[in-house]
Amino acid sequence: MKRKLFTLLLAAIMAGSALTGCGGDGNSETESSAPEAQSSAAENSEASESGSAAPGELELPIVSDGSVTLTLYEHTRLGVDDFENNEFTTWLQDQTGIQLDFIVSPEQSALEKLNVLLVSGDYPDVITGNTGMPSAQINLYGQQGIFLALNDYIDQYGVNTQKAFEAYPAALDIITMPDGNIYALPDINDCYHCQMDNKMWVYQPWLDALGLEVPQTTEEFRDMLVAFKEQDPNGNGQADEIPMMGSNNGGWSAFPEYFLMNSFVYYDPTYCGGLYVDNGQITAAYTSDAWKEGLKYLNSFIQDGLLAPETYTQDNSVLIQNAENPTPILGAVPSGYMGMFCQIDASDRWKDFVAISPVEGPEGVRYCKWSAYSGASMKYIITSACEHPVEAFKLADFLYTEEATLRSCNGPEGVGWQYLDEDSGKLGIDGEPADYEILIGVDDQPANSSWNQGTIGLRTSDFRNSAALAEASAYEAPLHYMTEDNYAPYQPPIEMVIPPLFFTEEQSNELLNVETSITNYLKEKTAGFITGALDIDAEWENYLAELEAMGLPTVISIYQEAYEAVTAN
Amino acid sequence: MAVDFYKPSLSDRIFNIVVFLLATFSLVIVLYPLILVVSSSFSDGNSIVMGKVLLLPVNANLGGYKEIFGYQSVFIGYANAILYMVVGTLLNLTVSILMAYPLSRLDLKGRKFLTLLLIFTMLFNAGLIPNYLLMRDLNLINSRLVMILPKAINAYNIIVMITYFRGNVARELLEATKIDGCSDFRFVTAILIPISKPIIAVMTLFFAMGHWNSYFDAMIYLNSSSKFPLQLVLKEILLQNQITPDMMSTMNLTAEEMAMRMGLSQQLKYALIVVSSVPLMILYPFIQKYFVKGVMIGSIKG
Repeated sequence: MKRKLFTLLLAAIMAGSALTGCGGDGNSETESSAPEAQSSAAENSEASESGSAAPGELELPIVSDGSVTLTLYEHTRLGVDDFENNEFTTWLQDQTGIQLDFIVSPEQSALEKLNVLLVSGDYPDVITGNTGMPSAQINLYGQQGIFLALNDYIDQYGVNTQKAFEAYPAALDIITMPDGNIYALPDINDCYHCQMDNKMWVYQPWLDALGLEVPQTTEEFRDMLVAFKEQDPNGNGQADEIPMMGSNNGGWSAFPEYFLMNSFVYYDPTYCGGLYVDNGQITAAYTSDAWKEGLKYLNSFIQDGLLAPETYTQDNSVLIQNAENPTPILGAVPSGYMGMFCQIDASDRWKDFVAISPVEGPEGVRYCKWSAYSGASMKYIITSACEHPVEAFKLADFLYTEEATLRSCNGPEGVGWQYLDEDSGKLGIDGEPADYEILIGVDDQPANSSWNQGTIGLRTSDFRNSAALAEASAYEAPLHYMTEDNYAPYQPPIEMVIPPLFFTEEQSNELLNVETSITNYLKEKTAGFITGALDIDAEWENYLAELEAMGLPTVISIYQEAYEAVTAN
Repeated sequence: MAVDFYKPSLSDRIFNIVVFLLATFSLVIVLYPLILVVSSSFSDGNSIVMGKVLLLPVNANLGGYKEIFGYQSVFIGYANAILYMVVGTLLNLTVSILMAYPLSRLDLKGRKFLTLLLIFTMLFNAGLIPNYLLMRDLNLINSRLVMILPKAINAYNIIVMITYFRGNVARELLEATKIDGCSDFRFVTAILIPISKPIIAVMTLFFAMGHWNSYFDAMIYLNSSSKFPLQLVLKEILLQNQITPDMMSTMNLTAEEMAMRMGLSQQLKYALIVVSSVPLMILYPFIQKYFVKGVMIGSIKG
């Protein structure tokens, strides 16, 4: 009897543990407060239109009596030992008069920890750094009022902010939510060559040795690889040449299809494995017949020994070993920049590789992948827990000034960088007299002297190009020119590029499940098709059917909805 | 009667040889990567990337170690990790023994109820957010105690200890000491602990490893980088060059950023791995001898 009672009690307790799942305070509040937030968001956008003009100059110090302390949520960065005693922090505090406290999270887990803080109600005053928070989530918190809408502040106090938007107008597209509100300020870092980073690098001395021109079509490209393989361009009498090789992990755009597929169909792997806009319709590049042709083209490389099959399995370090082999054995490498397959600081091999233009495909298609909207990302949020939002905003505004940006990224003046006089004789990357020079490379900076690009700043491509050419970054200039001369002419029309999209919470949830499995499936199948493990013709129908079964049409229709919402304005 | 060593028969010999071969094979498989890591930490970065380091260091130098100790965060992380490990393990052991011994005595009143309560706590885990709220209400957020207090009791380990005490601490021993007028506390400190060295050694190892490897708690509950343990610093440095395509667009990675991440010399990584594994590797041999030593040799006859 006693035993039975005891068993019953235990069972009741265990059943009771099922109740731990319900009653989460976060969820029910979001549902009920969303409608309220909608109306306040509407009020906000009305108010912003009647905002007054900003004063002409940001006055420093922002606070003179030391009464304002802001807590910033940041994540660790290499080279920043701690934020509290950092030289840039000290300089910021001196200049603005605001005391700064920090909640620091390890870089890899920044979003996880931030979510814990937000759900438990412990909001920091300001959230900055690369948390990786998706725009749908920022939108959601903004509508609930947890993140403040900054439109009024920009109009009233944003002297430098407005200048930043003038210098880089695409930033406004990136940060303005569908309801017209801005919940996060952007970090503007316009790396020109990164926008077209699916490059193909060819070893110039081999072209010279064999008397070849830079290939302009897919056929010529193939002939070049065949010549590399058969004509012994390194002159050592052995057939040890590897015509083309990439890497699977640790590389930057190290797959040959990233470059070569653009000769068949416009291919940008960033969006669900390869979506783009075709006449106003979101289309998948990888379900088209042109893609199939491209796969066959690449598969023929593997069959003829022109592309090393280890590309799809090996780590980037093996690629580096091959590229830096004492006798040159590698002819073509797909990559974002030379430093990814060469050791720039240890040898001069990288100087002999040139980035060639996209080649023309059999149907006349010739594009380079263009990330037109990659120059800005949302990186500064003020939460409702902040008791001094105006000062927090002015701090952000201050960070957009040139000196603050330089100090935040490169360290103290005179140590990490310095301004140059007109007659210094040093030229910038753009060929004009340089405005400033970086004195020590990013990885050689003394510890704790800067925030190492840890917060917002204004670095337009003009600004970046007016830095003096330096030994440490000697690759910047050739990279810039090769991008400008060889890739920019082949940019697709801007209408083909997917603009920044904003998804609602349900859309995000749906996408989350489906997108990951589709991208993984794609990666596997593409590698299988190209290496010949899968027969392209025999498996094509199955492959299309599988993609459909996985939910590709759903993804495309969600993207289409979001695209139409953005382009309707 | 003289004892002569019997000659091993043929099948015995073969058995010995096979065991020996298997053991050597396992040893090589486990030892080679270890040696490689240690050698790489002494070789220069370029040789590592070019794959020249096969067994012994190539171009031996101490550059990696010098670089590590130039990172302030590594020093701080090391100091913090040792602090949490030492203090935490001591607290764990104290609390565990104080809890396990009474529960192992069959004449404790309410023993069944208390043991049930202990097991009860193993059934649930409230989850991340309630735990965070609890730590916040206890004012433990961003305090060093948050790495030590919440983990003080590990129910599973205590149950193991209870079982060990029941099985290995004979009741006769207790009776013998009681006759001599020994109090319970004295029994624990003078007799129980010395004869339970194996279980204490095992528990020390478990607890120490748990503390040394703790990453998640530190990540969630600690806010200032001066309190971060070594694992947090390690993860940052060792995983710097894991870059995925979507990171490219969301993080605005530029060529300089990539250069910085790649340029973290390989040598530094290996040196870091060695440096962070060394304390536990040193700890183990000291503890190991307690595993093997016999327990109650000579205390109770019959």
